Amino acid sequence: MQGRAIWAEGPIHSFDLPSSSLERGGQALKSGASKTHAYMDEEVGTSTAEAWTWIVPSLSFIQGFMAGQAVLLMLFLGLFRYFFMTSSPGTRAQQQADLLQRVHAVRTSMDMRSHVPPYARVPYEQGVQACVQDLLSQVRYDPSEHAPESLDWLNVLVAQLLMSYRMSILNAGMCAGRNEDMDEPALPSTANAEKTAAKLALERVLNEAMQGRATKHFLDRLVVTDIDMGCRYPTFSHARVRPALHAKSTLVEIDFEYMDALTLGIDTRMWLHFPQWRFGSLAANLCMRVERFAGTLVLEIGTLPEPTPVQARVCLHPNFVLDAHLSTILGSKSKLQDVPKIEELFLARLRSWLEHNVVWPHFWHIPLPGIGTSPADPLA
Amino acid sequence: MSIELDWTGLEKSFADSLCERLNAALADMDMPTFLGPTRVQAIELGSEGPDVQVIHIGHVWREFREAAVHASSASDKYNARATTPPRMPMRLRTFRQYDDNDLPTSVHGGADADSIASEHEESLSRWSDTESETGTCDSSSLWEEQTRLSDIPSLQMHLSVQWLTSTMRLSLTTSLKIAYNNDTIMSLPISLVVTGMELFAQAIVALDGVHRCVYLSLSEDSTEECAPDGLRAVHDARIRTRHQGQRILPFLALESKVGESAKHVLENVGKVERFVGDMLRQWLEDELVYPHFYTLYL
Repeated sequence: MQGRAIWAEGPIHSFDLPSSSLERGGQALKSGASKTHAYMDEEVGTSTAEAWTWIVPSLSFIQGFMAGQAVLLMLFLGLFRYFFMTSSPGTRAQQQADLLQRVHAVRTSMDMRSHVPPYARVPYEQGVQACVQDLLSQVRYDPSEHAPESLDWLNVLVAQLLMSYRMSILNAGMCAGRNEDMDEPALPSTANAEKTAAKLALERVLNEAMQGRATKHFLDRLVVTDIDMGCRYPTFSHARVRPALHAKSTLVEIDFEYMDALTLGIDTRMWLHFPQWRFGSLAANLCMRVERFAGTLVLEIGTLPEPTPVQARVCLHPNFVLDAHLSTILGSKSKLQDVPKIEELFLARLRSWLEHNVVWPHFWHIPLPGIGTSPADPLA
Repeated sequence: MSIELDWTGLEKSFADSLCERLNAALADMDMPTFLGPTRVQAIELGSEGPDVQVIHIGHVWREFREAAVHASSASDKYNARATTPPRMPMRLRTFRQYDDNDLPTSVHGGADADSIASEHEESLSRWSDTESETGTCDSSSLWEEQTRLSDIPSLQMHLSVQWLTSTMRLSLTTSLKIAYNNDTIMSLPISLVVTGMELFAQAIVALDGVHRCVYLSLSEDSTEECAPDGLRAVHDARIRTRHQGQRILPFLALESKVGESAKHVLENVGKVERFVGDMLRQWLEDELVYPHFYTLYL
């Protein structure tokens, strides 16, 4: 009732009703319906007077409120415009035209400052073979006429690499061996600091490698009794470029030869688990020496026909030479020494491992950093 | 001792399981008709373990390989013959039974009763033949190629086994039956205890990676150097072929009791003990001594 009376004078009052008038309205309601009109007249008179005192702050509030609403609306519209609406075709065409103009200006400027001899590259669409021919002619290498080159610079690099690895083994062994007791007998593998370090590093690597294999129950802990990491370096020579088998790339053939005395002696114990766990054991001491490793190395870089990341592939020609010897002693008291059958078996296994992993047509794949491909892509 | 054995660490359960296996084998074996049910009562392995030395490692003998090829080609035949009665009463059924009339290098199982005598004659005559007695180590290029391709290595190992024990115990009970017109009219219980023995043998263990099997055989041992075939030459080859059982098992200490223990018992009857010893040696010669061998397929 009170609301309606005030509303007659202006709707704005309904927002700013003081609590006193509301209380009075409440009392009016309680006093009964018969007295309603009399109260109304009185109230209209008093509230009109009060409303004029409130009208100035109320107008500023309304203005502020409306301005706030408008700002919010603008903001929403702006957000909607920039986030949910693409630019209009007209604007995009303008941007592209600007881009082309910029690129053209830069290109013209660059052409004016440098003079490149005109050369038309064979487009990739003509096939890999044409590209390879183009590649060879650009680098001025004629595989049919080019003489094999010596690789003295590579020999130096590889020797440096090998020496660094030998030194890193020394460092790794020294780090590993600080806490270990050195109460072992004077083995050939502990003759000097270098051998001792290499022995410790190799023992750790071999024993850790054995843990994950099925043979770990059959062999006891391995002790490296003799070691020689060699003192000479491999020599590479006669590098020549040949077309690959599928003629879609070129490969580089390099002859190599490594003559040294790489020695590894291992002492262990073979366990027999029948009829019960660790029922019998046979002591075994093996010593292997590689004296000569020579052959032809093949390097190939490129992608395979199927989509794979760029990779380098390395393999050996099947006519490689591996001169190695194995000495064995089986048994602890009465010994069986240098069994030809065991040497033959072991070297045949070693050779077959090489043949199944790095000898043509099996390749050793080295992934190269890819562009636009994930490095985690599985290799072929 | 080249191979160290933890003999005293062997558990009682192993002796018990060995006892059960022997009993199962005895139940399957075709015993002579004059013997009643035979049963191993107990086994004690004793405190003295065998002395085992590896004396030779080399190529798998051609005889083993040829027998394996023969066995695989004749597999259908021996399957069909599995139900026929064994031809030799004293022989165990082997793990794989071959049907090779040409090769005496394997244990025979099933054959017709008519051919017993002739084949026995043939095998006896071959025993005197030195060419078939010694193993041959030559290897063909085909075999080399197959060996190279298989993932199990092929090698033959000769182990010198010397077991001199006086602490082992093997007690078994049997009975002597006297029959008349297919009716047993008398049964005489016999209990035997093996209390010691001397075993001088050369065990031949050949691992065949191509056929994926292990050949097991025995030969006699000595302290001589190994011959090129891996066997230690003991005597003249012609003599080597005879009485190998006697030389492999020169001494067997037995205690015998004949009769019911509740009544009168005849103890340590020398003739019975000698007879059992001879039977055992004959069984060894017939079953395990080269040119007879067992084949276990992996």
